[in-house]
Amino acid sequence: MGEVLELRELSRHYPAQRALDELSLNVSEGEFFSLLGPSGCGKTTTLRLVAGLEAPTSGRILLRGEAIEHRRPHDRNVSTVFQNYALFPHLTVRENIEFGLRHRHGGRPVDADKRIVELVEMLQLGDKLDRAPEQLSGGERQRVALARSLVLHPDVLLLDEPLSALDPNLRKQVRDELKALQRRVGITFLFVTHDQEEALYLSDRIALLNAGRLEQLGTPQEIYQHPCSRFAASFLGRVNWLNGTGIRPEATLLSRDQPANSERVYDSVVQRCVFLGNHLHVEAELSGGEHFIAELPCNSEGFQAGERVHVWWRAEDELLLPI
Amino acid sequence: MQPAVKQPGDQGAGDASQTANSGLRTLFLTPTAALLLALLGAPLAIVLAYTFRTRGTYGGVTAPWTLENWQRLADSLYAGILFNSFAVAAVSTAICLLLGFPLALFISRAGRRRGLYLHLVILPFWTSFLVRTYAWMFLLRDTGLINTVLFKLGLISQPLPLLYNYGAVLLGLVYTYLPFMVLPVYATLERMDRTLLEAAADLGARPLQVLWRVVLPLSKPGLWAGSILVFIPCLGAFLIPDLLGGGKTILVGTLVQNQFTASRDWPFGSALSMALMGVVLLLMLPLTRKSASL
Amino acid sequence: MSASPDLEQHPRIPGGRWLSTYAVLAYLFLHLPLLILMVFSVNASRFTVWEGFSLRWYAEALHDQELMESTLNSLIVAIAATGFATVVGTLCAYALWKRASRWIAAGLALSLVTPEIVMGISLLAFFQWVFRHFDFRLGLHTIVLAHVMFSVVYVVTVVLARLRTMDPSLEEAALDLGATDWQAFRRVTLPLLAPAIGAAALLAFIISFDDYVITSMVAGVDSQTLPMALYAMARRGVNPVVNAISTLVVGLVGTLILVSERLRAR
Repeated sequence: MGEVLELRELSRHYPAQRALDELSLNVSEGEFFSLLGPSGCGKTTTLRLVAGLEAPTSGRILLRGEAIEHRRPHDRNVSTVFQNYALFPHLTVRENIEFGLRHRHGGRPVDADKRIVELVEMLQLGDKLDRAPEQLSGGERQRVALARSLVLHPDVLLLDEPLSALDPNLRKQVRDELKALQRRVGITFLFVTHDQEEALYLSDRIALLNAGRLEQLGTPQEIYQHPCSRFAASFLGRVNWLNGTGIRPEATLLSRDQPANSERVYDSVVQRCVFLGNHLHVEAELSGGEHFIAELPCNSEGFQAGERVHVWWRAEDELLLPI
Repeated sequence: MQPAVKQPGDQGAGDASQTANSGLRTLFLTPTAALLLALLGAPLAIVLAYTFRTRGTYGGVTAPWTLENWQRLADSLYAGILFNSFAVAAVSTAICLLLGFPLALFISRAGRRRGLYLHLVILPFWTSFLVRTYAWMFLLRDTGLINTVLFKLGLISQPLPLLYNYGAVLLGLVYTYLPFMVLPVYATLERMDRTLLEAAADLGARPLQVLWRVVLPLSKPGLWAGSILVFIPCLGAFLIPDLLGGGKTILVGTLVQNQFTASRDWPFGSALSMALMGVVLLLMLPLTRKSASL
Repeated sequence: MSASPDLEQHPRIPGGRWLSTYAVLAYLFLHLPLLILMVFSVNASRFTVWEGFSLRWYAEALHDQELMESTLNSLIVAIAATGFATVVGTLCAYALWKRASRWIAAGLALSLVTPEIVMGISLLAFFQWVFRHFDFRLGLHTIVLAHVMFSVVYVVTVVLARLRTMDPSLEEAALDLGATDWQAFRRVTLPLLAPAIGAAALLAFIISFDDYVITSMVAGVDSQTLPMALYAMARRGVNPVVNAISTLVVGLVGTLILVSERLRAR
């Protein structure tokens, strides 16, 4: 797999803020690559820099080895799915999808009609082609936005939180469809999100950004299991902290009897025990005052508030942070 | 005179648009810039220069340079006219305040019909200025509708002198510029948090106290904006004093027009104009500071 | 226009009934003079006594050569000025939407607050000064120039208001999909702005068609517009023809305002 997109020390500084500071990363051909981070971390700025909607302060953007950072947006073979989809309200679905083909460099491609037919079928938009965007549901709008961009066969498809405009029930379903679509079309996706679950679920690799800088880069598993910092550990999921050591709630164990074979055993008092369907959520306070959360299998025996228990975990489950 | 609105390029990213259409932007601004420069900036500059010139024999201006035109503004005759203009504008503004606030209050409380009531204020604002002034001439003249009706009813034997006096001028100004007061006051009332009124009432304030102690202080920005918007055009008004005031009420607008037509004293007319402009700009300062530029 | 039942929703507002009564009076004050004028425009009598319905003043107005000529002049001026002001103002609004410009905004605000009479005499002085160097005279063309200048600010305001409700990512999407700057403007922004531009054009037309003070200063001797003719007639005294022509003007302008408001609400 070759590299399709390379960012080299890419920076975007505003007078009051460094929105992005020397970001370097490579995205491979056909990869589902996520930029993850809290709001203001620079992930959307990165996307807009790649799209050409903003100009970098310094650094380079290479698309298939060619520098594109000075090219105008219409001169870059990337395409964006905007957060609110930005469908043209005065055009029909069909006209929206054909918009890019009309304006593309070098005129309308010979296989344009075939591309449209394929995508329309793949995204189930066949009966919506003559509608106006405002007549569509949220999920349909998103599919039109996808079709509008994919029909151009971009080298990289840029997606700016495309699931955030959907209501929560729909989000999981669309998430599955998005992943399947990416596999099917084989186009590289650069996906921006602040939702760690979404990123873990969808991505081949994740770049975690914090305050304009790259915090960690890796596969979902690497980042989740071997976070490089407290920020990375906490952003990807809940962590119980004790003297600088982190333990994920699902690796935290509780027992009434003294567990054998572990040095990591702490006396504590149960504060709350709630059954949440797929797991048993227990909150306990250690004797040193630390607040711990344990997620136990749902068939575990429940605990009473006020009950004295042992909190413990296995050494290999500890998150090792580089000092 | 728009309320403060955040610009798309404002958020610390003043140059974000460099990529998005900056070439077009310059191109698109050029005609307006040229228009304003050639037909507003240059003419005002010329008039400013004329204030320091001498009146030509057949009108127009000639050398030498002089300060005499500015000194003449202090003549009791002209100072009196300037004072009268101020007084008329101030009284008109005060009347507009008194009439406009309750109307704005009414509209802001009108529920679903607010749109209609608002339009009924806006409509005359756009309708022919000259025709509306003429309508008052039709009503107020010696043989006008009001005098005719009063005469027919036997209430008067001689027509009342309703037209061609300061009263008629004030009436015309208030009638014309009342919408300028209602609209900004309505805008502030509209934005006002309703729960504040409920809180005040809840804390024991009686309705009139709520109005006096809460609503009125909170609508101050609108009242100020409205007052300035009314005062400025009243101060420079020409058509209304001319038609409704006749020859008896000379205000600064009429005086300026006179200098450029009948009297053919351009330098002095220029000085009067620039004095008027100075006052207007001074009054505009607080408004430009509060509201975002266009 | 009577007391609004909706007022009952706000029982704590003092004197709702008094306020409604006052509002009725205020609206009468704002609208009655014109309504009376309109009624008397179809009065058969020359005097302010009702003698029955007649359209004779309309007929007289329509046969008045001078009035018709000045109406034609007003239409020519208003259409030309509206055309220029709409194009120039729309482009300006678009540019200001991209990035605010302190100087242009100040200039536009100045054009709005400069007293008409001052604007009139300064344009007169300016044109006279220009004519010393070029062989031109005052006429319809100078009126058009003046009208374009003072109506641009209205176009800019209306169009800019619409732009500010528009999603900026629409244009970015167009660029992103391969449209050039011009194509994005032409194919996406402009169609979406069309109703607002229409509304702005109508306002510019109304303002131009209605102006007397500035026009009278820059008109020169042989070009008269309708407001100038009306002014002259009004100064001369009683004339029911003025009532008739006024009613026609109010009818035209009122219709245009309503259409413009509709377009702006779109």
